[in-house]
Amino acid sequence: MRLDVLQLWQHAWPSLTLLIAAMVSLLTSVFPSRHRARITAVLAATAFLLSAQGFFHQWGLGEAKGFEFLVVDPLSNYLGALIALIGFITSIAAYPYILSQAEAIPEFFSLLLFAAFGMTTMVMTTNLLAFVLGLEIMSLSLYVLVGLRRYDPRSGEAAFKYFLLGSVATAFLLFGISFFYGSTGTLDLSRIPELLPNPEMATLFKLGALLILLGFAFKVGAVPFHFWAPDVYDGAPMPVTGFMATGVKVAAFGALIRVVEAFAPRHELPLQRWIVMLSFATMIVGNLVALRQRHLKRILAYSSIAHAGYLLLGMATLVGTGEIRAAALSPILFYLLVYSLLTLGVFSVLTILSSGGQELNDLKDLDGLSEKRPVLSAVLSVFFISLAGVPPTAGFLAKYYLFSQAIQVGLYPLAIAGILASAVSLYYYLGPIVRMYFHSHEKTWQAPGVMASLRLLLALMVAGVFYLGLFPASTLEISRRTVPIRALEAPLASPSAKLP
Amino acid sequence: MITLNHYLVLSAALFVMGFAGVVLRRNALVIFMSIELMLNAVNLSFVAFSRQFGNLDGQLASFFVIVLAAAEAAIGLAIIVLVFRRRATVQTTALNTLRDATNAS
Repeated sequence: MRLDVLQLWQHAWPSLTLLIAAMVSLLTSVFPSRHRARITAVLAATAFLLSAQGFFHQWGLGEAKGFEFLVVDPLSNYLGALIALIGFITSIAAYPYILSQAEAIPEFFSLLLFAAFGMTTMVMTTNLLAFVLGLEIMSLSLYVLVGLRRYDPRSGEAAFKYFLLGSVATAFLLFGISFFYGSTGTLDLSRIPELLPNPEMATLFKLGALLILLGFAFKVGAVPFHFWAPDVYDGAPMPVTGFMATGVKVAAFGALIRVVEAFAPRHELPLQRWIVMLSFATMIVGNLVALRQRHLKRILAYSSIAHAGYLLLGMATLVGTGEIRAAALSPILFYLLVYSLLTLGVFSVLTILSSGGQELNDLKDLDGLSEKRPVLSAVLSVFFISLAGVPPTAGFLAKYYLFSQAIQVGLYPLAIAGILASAVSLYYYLGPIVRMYFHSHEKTWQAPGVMASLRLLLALMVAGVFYLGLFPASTLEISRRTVPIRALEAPLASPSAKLP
Repeated sequence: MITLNHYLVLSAALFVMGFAGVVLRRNALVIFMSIELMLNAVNLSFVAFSRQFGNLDGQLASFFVIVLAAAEAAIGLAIIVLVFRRRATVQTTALNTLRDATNAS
């Protein structure tokens, strides 16, 4: 099949828009610095919104199309729209923050666009080589974003740690892919079902799958490969932390869905046992260690680790059903949406509070905030309560669907551990709220007023938390109709595979 | 006669040496070199498998890995220079500002 550029553009333009906008925004360096930040910000926000709209439109068409490297199907369009929206919210929330820095850094928006492009590539492919390229475009942009506050030693240290550990994880992932290639003769995941199991290569195949899974575990911050996350989240600039906590998770779990889809029918792999163990450790360690943290960003880092554990529980459910079924997939997709909404909400408010030139860090910084910024405190409380999974909000329903699905396929111990762990999480999510409302303030906190567009966005997000909590039916229907290419139609036409 | 297994053993040995370097050494530049060694081990195994099958996917992959290693070098060295300008050292033991502060309140 020859690559038809026009057809590629027709199906993949929402993703390519991000790439073009990223390149154009780099060219804006001809403008003087102050205007440059504004121009790149507007460009980035427009591109993200356009791309999200495009992905959603493509999703509505319900088509599935395979190119040599890219796959455009409802799953990739759903996740792409989510990633573009994450980018949009981040770029709006970060604008005042970027202007308040000692040196305004317009490159922030270019790097954001590049990272988002990498993320969309990750979820739009079944080819492991294209996946790694997307992963690296994302990771390299993120290493720089983390070190963006270059006069701040904490930022540099976080970038350094993230870079070293991230590169090692990439090396493991690539080594796993080379074993996968060695045992199957192809780099394309979608061709696994056609291949007959080859007993001679079984060990190599198993080792390859294990190394690939290990690379994923690192990227989503699953225990015991989580040790980088708290340090990196802590040192990174506030909006970057929010972007990492949501975008990377969506992209990595989206790609993991495709890997699990390909590996699940191969019964020689103890895939479910591996994922169950990871999920167990991640939920328990993430939640318990979060209890002992004193820094706001570290609490949120461990919280994001814990949520990765819940999502891994969903993945174990997916493997348990043997093949990709909409019933097992839709709770994961719904959870990704809700988790991104809530976490971005928290980080948007924290970014506003950090826009006064100094970074919000210690839990004590929140003392008595409700007296000075009553609205922001209320908004922040809503997001925290929903993250804990309290009933009338979206966070509760997302967890409910995930756990009930796990119980249906018989993963009782895992579901019970998840429910207990999320009960524990209520404690550390309530901590900041208690600080805001029941402690008197000592610190004179300086944070500027909030832009009108950002106010509107926050209002919409709070409305979304209650809308998804009270009327989830239409959104759940969307996630139920989101299936990967293989479930949609017969396998892609491809030359018959030969085994070595 | 050099068989596939010879290449694979060499590749695995290089990878393990690289990983040992990452784990055991404390100098950022040496760690960085060890990561490059791991990536080259990946290249070797890709090319060896490619030769075994007689299809070019593996060689293509190794070209991409080379590009990727170069991009990583550009960003990685920039980050190391950034840290060096702050602290005048590239020892990883000196990087201990960010950690779990459990006892301090």
